[in-house]
Amino acid sequence: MCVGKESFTTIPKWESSVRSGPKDMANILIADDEVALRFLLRETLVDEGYDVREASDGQEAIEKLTNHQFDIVILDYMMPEKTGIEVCEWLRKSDSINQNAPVILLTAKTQMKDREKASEAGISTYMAKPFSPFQLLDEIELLLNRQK
Amino acid sequence: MTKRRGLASRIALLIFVSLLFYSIVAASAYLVINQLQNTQDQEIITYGKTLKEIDQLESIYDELVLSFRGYIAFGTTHQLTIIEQAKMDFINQLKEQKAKTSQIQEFQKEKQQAIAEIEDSWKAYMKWVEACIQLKKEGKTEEIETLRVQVGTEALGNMNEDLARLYRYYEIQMDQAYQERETYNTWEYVVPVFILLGLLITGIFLVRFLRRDVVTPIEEIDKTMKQISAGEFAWIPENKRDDELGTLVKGINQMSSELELRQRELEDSNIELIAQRDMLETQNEEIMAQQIEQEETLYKLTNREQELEYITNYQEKLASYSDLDSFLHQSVSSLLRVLHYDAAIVGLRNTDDEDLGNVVFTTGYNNSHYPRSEQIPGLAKRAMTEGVELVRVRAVTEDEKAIHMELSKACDRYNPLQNDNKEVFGFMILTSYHQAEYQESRDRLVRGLVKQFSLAMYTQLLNDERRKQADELVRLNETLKKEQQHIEEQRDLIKQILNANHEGMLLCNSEGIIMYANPRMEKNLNECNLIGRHVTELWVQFFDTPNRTESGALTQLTEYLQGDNENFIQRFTWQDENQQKIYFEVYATVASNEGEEKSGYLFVFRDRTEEEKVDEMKNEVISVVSHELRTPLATVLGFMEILLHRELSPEKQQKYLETIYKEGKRLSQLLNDFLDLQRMQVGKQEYQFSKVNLLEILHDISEQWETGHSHKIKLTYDEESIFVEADEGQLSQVFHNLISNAVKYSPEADHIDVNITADEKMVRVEIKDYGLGIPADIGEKLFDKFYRVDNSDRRQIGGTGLGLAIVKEIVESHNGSISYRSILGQGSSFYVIVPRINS
Repeated sequence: MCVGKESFTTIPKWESSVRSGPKDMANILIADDEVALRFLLRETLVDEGYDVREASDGQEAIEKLTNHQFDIVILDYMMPEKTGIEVCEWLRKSDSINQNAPVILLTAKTQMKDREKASEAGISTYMAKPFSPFQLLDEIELLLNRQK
Repeated sequence: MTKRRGLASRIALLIFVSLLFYSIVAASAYLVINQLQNTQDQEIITYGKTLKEIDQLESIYDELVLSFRGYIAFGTTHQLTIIEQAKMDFINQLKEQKAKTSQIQEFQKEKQQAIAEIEDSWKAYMKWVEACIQLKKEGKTEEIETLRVQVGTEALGNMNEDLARLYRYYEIQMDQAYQERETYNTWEYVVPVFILLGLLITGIFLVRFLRRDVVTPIEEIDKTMKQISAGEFAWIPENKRDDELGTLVKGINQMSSELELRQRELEDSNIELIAQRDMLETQNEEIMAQQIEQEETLYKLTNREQELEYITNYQEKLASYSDLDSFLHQSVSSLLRVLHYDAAIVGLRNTDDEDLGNVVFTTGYNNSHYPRSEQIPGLAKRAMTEGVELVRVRAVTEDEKAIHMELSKACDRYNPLQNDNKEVFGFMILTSYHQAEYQESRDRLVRGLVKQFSLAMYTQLLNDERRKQADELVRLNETLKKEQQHIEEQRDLIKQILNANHEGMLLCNSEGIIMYANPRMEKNLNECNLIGRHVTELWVQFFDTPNRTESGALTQLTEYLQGDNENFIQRFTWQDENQQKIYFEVYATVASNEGEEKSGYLFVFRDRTEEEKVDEMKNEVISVVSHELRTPLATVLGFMEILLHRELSPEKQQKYLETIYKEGKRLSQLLNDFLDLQRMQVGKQEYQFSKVNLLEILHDISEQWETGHSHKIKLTYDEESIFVEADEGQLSQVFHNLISNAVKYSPEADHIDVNITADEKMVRVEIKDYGLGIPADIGEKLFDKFYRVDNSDRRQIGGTGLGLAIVKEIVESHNGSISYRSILGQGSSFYVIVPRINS
């Protein structure tokens, strides 16, 4: 899960073993207040053929989650209005169509405490910043497969 | 006896009465004159009236004459009517006049006569007139002419004459009346003159009265008084007056008589006194004779008494001195005086060596004769060993001769000094130069007095010893007191240190019983009765409860007390009454006295709450920084990975690389800003202050922002140069950051306003944008580190969240202040205020 020191010294080779074949157009919500990071996520996902919607803060994420169906939800932890954890907590408690959608949390916080809090809130996968886009894609694939 | 009026009231009455009298006289005179004048005036008026009436009478008559002549000449009947009328008028008028005169007949006989004459003339004239009229009617004109010559002219003449006389009469009357009136006017001036004269006369009378009745008696009294003052006896001739002056004269006369009487008495007693004095003088002479006799007796007695007094004095001296030196000095001199000796030595026996002794006192000798030496004379030694007194008559030495020139012999007397147990403790040598012969008669006295001296001296020596001991005791006591005070001070000091200490302290003995707890400790535990309890008991009560303890705290303590563990450090957390967390660290050290085994333990409770807070803040900063750094890093690494692994179109590659570059720069900026801020906050930033022109800086910055940016910078100012004491680079950064923020947060606007205003002391720079504005609830948080307004609109806009924190640090280092005002949706103004310096 963790990229670790390795990734800075040697560039990992990513085999597209999991991500083979055409995508079945899964819907993904990305919520992050950083424009640049959102851009990265968008580029990563759209090129793989996912359908992407964006939110720039927690409140907007909740609105999107209420109105649209998503297969995967990617939340940044530190967001204005509501944090990623808060959005996830809301989602699990709500009766939204996305109530049980897998949630990936992106965060710069890597302490054990934060991880525990995240799993309590119902986060499916926890990714520390900086993260590898390909690893993210692997995680998405994994979660999507699990759904099926 | 009727009381006569006083002198003063008499004078007052006199003046008052005379004034009243002259006032009445003046008033009545004026009344009379006025009355007379009025009567006269009335008369003049009456005469005037009468004159007028006579005038009227004449005119009626004239009219009649004219009408008559007219009728005679022209014969008109109209004239006749007028004649008739005038006739009637004249008769009436004349009747009136007559009636008036009849009222005052006596007085106006002449007038009556005149009127009677007029009446006669009138009748004659009328007769002629009527005759003429008759003749005219008949037409006998010649006869009229004849008649006129015969009667007419005469009648007319008489008539005219009579009227004229009457008139003249009244004229004369009137003149007389006027003259009388004049006379009265003259009186008006004459009366005051008379009154003044009267007053003058009265004044003269008053002065004469005063001179006779007041001044003359007073002068007499004055003369007499002068005589009395000069010591004569004088009397004022008595008068019968019983006013003030009379009383005064009587009083003075009585006083004078009294004085004379006294003088006589005094003279009498004086004679008596002289007689007594003579008698006394005689007695005095007798007494004087007796006195001389008595004096002789007294002289005899005095010698004896003197001797006794010396002895008494000596005995007193024996008892009354407290220290040895003054005792010896006083008592020995006194003893010499009583016994008529001249010199003395007092020595003490040396108990170790018979030959030696301490001479403690000498008096009367030439200095070199008996020096204070340890070697004592042989006779003195003998006297001491044998306990008897020895007498030696010897030749006077050369030294002694120098003082007692004409003498050749001296008598020394060696006395042992014995206490009441007959033990010899010293000696006394008495020397006489005047009584060289041994006098047995005085022997007893000498022996007795020396014995008294030796007993007193022995007591004195004992007392001296005792006093020395007492002094020593006092000294020791004082040292003790000082030491005690010193210890008390130290104790207080230590107590103060312990009280003021921020750490709680517990001192317990080796068994673990608490011996001392400082106030801080009691406060920490909110418990006062700590002393005497066992320290483990305390741990159970306060620290070994489930929510407070760290596991094994009590075990660790027990082990430590048993000596199983050498170190003891524990940390506790609990909540105080305000639900604030308090962090404690407890450590213990062995307390031991010097060289002894351990005597107890000191437990120190250190409050770590502040440290904990600082730690927390540090952690938070690290966490924020790590987040702030990781986010751009994630973007950079992410895109790089994609670039490495994906085949991409050149446009995409370009775009990714641009993003990487931008985020990389941001990362670098973030690091720089963060390090800058850190440096400033710990005070490591070095500012190079110099005098700079604020406007030049602002011009430069606005120029930099004009080129290649969307916004225009509009500078407004009143003065071309405003100097401030500043680090130019740092101050530039302030305005760079503020203008950069203004540009960033007003994407829709096309300009930024920079307004510079200054007074004598301060200068204010306002940077005003027309952009998003800042929500009202943010306040000062805006200047916090990493604070960014939580709003997605703003998140689009890059920034480190450190810019304003840096600005604030710099401005405050320049003794300035920063503030802002903003309306959400309309824009914000930031104000930098820094002190101005004189150009």
